[in-house]
Amino acid sequence: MNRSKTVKVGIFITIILALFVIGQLWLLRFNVGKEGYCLNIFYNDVSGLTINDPVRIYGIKKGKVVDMKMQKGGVLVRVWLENSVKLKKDATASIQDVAMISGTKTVVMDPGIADEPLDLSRTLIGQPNLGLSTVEIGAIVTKVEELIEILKGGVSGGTGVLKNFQVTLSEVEMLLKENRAGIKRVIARGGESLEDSKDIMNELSLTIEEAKNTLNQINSRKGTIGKLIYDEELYNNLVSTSSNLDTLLAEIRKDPGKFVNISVF
Amino acid sequence: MLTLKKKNLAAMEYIGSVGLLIWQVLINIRGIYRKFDLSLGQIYFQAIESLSLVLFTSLFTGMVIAFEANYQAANYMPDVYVGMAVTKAMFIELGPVLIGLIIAGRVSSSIAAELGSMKVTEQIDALEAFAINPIEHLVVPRIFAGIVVLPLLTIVSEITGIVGGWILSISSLNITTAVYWRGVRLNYIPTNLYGGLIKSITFGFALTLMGCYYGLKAEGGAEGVGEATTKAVISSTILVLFLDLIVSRLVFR
Repeated sequence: MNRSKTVKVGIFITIILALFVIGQLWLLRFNVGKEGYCLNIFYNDVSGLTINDPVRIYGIKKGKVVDMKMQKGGVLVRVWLENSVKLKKDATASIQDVAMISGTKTVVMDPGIADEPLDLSRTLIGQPNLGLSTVEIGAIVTKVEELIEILKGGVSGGTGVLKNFQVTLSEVEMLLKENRAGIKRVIARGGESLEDSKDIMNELSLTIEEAKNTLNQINSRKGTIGKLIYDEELYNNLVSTSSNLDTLLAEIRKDPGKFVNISVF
Repeated sequence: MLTLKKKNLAAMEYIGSVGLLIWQVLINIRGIYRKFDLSLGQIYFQAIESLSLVLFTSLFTGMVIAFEANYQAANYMPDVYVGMAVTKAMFIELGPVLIGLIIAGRVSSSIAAELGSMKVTEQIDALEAFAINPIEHLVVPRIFAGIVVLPLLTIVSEITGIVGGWILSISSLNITTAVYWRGVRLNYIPTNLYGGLIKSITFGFALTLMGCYYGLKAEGGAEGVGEATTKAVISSTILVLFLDLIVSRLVFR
């Protein structure tokens, strides 16, 4: 093969390989000539975030996701940030949707306002994604549709019930009109009765109060009843008297003459 | 029944002879550095001489994808997805398959015709008489060139297609340059690109192998050469599409 053809092949292969490498670096958003640093962020759920997704601060792209590793309880996301980004101790990082249809995500960071800078050796705890994923929105929409169907069914099925309720209400209204005088009388009597019952209640409460005092006195073994209930000696005497009386009555039945002597003359 | 048996035997014979050729290529590929000059000649023929055809077809393919993506999705998709559609289509499918089919038509037929002519004019027998291994001398450089050239032409095709999509977007679709190129980078997954390149490597091997196989099997003069050329193109085309499915199933999952 002549030399010119060899040179052409060489040029062709070199150009294609160069274009391939440059294109690949461009597509991967490789930051040529920019200096930066890396930061680890821990998320419970990365919600579809992928490597090379951008990191935005106040809406400006200032970095990218360079690595993601599964860890116990979540995912450790490593992001690269430009040196111009100065993170403070109260910096936050959340994952947000860029476009719902494609599911593209971005890490949105707030650099914070604290005086102390963020310790880059420590892992920043990422804030949960408060947005809704397309799947979640789909599930919500499905449930809303189901609810609408139920409501539609309820309204159409409940039309008869509503009509019945309306008829009943009109009948009640008619009854009220017809018996207005009687109802007034009943209410007036009810008022009088209530007045009477008020006096009765006062008297009753006084009686209860007195009964309470009496019971208190009995419980404190005061008065005759109190002593009668709680005095054991009195009880024993009563029992003994009762027994003697029984004996006496038995003897009287047996020989009445012993105790009763009747003479006419 | 007898016909079916004959057909089965013919199919087995075909598979066996292709397998033997692959085996001979694998054995002789170690001596590729000795035939590097021949390989460079084949790379020049397969790549440089096919370049204009590749550029032309890829440019229009990119334009068509951009136009159709916009036509189908303009009402409910943002403009940025036109760039993404062109890039993904070129990387995953159209870049490698288009180049595979073009090279199958251009190179496989050419190889079959060249080797077939050598076979029917007993030049291959002459090589053997001079103790030159025809597989090492004729087949291996062509297959090696095919394996190298197809991925390179696929990269050219992909870049050209994306540029074609950009030209159409800014000229006809009212999509700005910034939006289009942002779409090109949107949702870029390296597997898309590498998967397409793996496809093109298998295509390069298959279509040069078919060209060589039918060329070496040619017999019966000019008619036999023509028949070998036709068979080479048909089998290469079918193999390109078959391998496209196989590699897609293996890579994109």
